[in-house]
Amino acid sequence: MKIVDSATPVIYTAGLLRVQNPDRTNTVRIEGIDLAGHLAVTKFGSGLHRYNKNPKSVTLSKPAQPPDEPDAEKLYGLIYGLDISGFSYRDPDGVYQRYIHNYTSCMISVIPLTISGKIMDAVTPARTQKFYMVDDSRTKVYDIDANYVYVDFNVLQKMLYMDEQQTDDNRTIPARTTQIHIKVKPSVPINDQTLKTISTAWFDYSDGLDDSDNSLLKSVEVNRWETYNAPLISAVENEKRLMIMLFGIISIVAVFLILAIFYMIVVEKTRDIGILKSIGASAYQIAAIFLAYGGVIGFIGSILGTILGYYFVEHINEFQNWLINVFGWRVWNREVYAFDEIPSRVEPWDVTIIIIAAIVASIIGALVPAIRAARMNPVEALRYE
Amino acid sequence: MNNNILLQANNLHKTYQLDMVRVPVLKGVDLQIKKGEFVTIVGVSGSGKSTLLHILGALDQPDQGSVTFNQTDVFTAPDTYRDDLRNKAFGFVFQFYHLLPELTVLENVTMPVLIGSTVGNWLGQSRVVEDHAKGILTRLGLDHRIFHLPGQLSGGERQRVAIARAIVNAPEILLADEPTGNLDAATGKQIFQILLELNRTGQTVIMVTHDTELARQTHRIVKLHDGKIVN
Repeated sequence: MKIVDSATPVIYTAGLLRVQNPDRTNTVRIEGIDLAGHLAVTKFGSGLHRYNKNPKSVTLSKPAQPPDEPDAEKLYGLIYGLDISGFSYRDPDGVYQRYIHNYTSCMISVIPLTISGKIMDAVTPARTQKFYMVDDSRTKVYDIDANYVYVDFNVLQKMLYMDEQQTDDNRTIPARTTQIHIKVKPSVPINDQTLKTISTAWFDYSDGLDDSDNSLLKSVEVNRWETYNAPLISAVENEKRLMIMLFGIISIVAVFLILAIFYMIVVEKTRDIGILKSIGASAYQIAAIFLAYGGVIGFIGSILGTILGYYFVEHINEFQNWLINVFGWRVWNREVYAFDEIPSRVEPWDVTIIIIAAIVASIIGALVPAIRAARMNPVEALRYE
Repeated sequence: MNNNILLQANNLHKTYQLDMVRVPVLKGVDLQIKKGEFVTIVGVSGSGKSTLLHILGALDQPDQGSVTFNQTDVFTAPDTYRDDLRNKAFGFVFQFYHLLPELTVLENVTMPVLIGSTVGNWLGQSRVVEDHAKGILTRLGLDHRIFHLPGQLSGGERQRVAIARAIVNAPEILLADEPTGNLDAATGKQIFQILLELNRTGQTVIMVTHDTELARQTHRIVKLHDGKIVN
């Protein structure tokens, strides 16, 4: 397809991960990936620890043995989520101490399901296979890093009997996958139209397949990443909305604060206002002085606020680590919000709107005192003490 | 002195409301000011001298009656006309100087020109205006005080700055509200001499004062008593 950059199949299943040293068993979600394809389609590679130091050292698709142990058995590789309980320790500065040594062996147990989702009766309910833990992954989404392990697509497909199968009545069940991850070309916008195009292409393709159980292919949905991960994103989005609401209320209070301060300035400057009026200043000129004053305060305040805000957002996680180290205050609980760190990004358009709003708010705050100043009787103002 | 009437007040009434009490201050004042005149308004405290001066100078409005300046009714004209009058045609000198404390002497004196200019005009002419203001300040013996703040000046110097500010736009009438009232006798005399000197060069002056000695040296004395002019 012209709009697709690359695509890769992925199998998702649940299972048990057993490690003997340290001795523990974890319930995990297992993702069967074609590593090369997955690296091309997703940003999975950026979170891999050993892969980023030496890409050749991490292989999932071929059995291997520890480089310094030629007599050891050859096993497939496994990548584990760095935040899986007991595998690492994260200090308050966000630095990880890893407890798992390279090529530590582990056991994965999965329960194969039939094409319709039932537990396969014909085989032993659970299938177990030994792997070497060859790398760890940190996507920075806590929910993923604390629950997922990654093995080779073909290996997991075989473990789950999702590869091509021959039935007793000589029917062929084609090989299966759970999802196909698609990366569109950079120039293609990810919108409903693009989803529809991909969806249409899929159904055109599946219609042409000679498959006895075509209904499964018909139930395929094409969604964007955000839709699949909506539960993770929505918590942060809600938090963002709450923050906007809180800061909105603070801004309204700030407008009243400006109003109170300007009101006091006008009272304090009553005689000066009288002097200016006595030498010919018009009501508009007097009002303009206070409005311009409000505008300048808003402008300077918003510029300073932008600089400080930008610095704060850029270093928000370091700031949180400092709070944890010094006061023991954890503002962002990654187990609650799914994300490992406070997600932050400076949106230029949002900044522009906030700067304009701050200047307008300052002018609005100065408006009532400015009108009062403009309406002052010059004689009464000159007599003010 | 010619007979041209510059400013004319007809049947001026003004009443102040103090809490529940109505205090009539002016009860029908008629007055004519001719070009080049030096008129003093005298009277006891509360007789309405300052109120009359403020109304004549378009700082305050009468409840009844009219003021005409160069045949134009000051109080039926739009606000902008009165602003313009206060800026260009009238110059005020007050008993308590009323200088802007944060501005230097030069900035105080050039302020009326700044107020009467657009931003573009001011940028174009600020140097000329400053030179003009410095000339006036030099004439009044304040050339060494140009960049000082009002708080650094003596009472007499402050009043001279106030006079400089009042005449910077070459007004047609100079209105002085007890300009010597806050000064010692000698300094007050100096200030009065400045006003006399300005009048000799053609400046029309209306001055409110308690000092009958000074009033006698002017062209005409208007005596207010109980809100009315008496002979």
